[in-house]
Amino acid sequence: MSGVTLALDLLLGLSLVWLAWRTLASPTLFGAIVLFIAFGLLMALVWARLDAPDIALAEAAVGAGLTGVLLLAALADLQQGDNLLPVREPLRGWLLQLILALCALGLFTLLTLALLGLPSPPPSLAGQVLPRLDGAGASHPVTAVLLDFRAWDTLLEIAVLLLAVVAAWSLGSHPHPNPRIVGSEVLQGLVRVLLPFAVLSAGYLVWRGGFAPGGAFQAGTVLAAAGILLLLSGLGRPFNGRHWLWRALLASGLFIFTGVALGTLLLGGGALDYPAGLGYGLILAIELGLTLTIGLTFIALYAGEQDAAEERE
Amino acid sequence: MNMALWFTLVGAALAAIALHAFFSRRHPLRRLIALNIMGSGIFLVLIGLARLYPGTLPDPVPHAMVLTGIVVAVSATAFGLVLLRRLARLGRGET
Repeated sequence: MSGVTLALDLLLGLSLVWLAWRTLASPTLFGAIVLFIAFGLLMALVWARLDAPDIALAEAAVGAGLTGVLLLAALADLQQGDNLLPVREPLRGWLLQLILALCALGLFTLLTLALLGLPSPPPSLAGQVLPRLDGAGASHPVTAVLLDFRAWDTLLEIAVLLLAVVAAWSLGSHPHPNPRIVGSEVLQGLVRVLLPFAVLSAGYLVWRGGFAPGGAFQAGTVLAAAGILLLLSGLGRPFNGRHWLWRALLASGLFIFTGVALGTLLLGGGALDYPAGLGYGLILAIELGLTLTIGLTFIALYAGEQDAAEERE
Repeated sequence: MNMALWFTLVGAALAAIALHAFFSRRHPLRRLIALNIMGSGIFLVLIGLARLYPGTLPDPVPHAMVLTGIVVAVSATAFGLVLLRRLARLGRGET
């Protein structure tokens, strides 16, 4: 490790810890959220340093972008009038503070001891994944793990996403109070220019996921960002969650994935055990469905269900 | 010191700081942020472990796990925020 990269790594690590501390200690909620967004951006840099470009892409879009937008939208809603939430931070007794500090210190010490006591070389599954890439439906190792070797995990993850939307809608999730508040002409102009490029990049990311860093997660979050910008600019309206078409599109990723799992099961192999030669096409089909689902899920979680309030009245 | 090991230690520190904040702060929004930072710390430990030994290709399995984890974490956060907004509306006497 040369001097420059060593200094960069030290600086990155220290700023990460400092930013996390400032975020958690920030006196105002707004300040905490803004610092958290900065924390997410820095995390993306760290992922890039750790040779994890897939995660860097996802973190830049999700950790820094999407989570920040969701938090800010919720904050705007929470700050309307008085509510039950304890906004003041009560001062606890010193004994409790001491126990909490000891717990945190204990966690850090245990993790450090575990990390330093690892066998050399550390356990790794790379030796099992890399030789099997030739027979997999994707030549990029991370995509192969996500959609071939461990496809079940990804299938269940998509089910979790759908569950989050269903749960949010069941609670009567409202759209953001004043969706047109930032609908300036500059933003509208920007969105008009950016939107086609966002859709194009999403398509490119999905296609690229087969052989290089990229894939459905990253593409889905790019789509979600485009959709949220469309809502913020006032050019688009939140979609009606009661319409069957939107519901079908939201569930499309899970439908396609489950369909492929059933199909491969009927063909005689195990579920999601792709027949030779069909792996690439099936994975691409699943990834396209996943992209649409992930994008729409995040838009739905941001926008809420437009008609929930009106229909109950 | 090994670069990946340094970042795993940073991850451990992040998890510890966030654990402390999660229990000592009262506002649910702050707790959600603390939970997200704790998640980032754990992800950092996992990815640091994946390439602890330089020269070899990083282990793709933790990468896939963290990618899944990030997406699940953001949907869990979004659901937590929906619950929070509902709680606030109930507190204001709305439905």
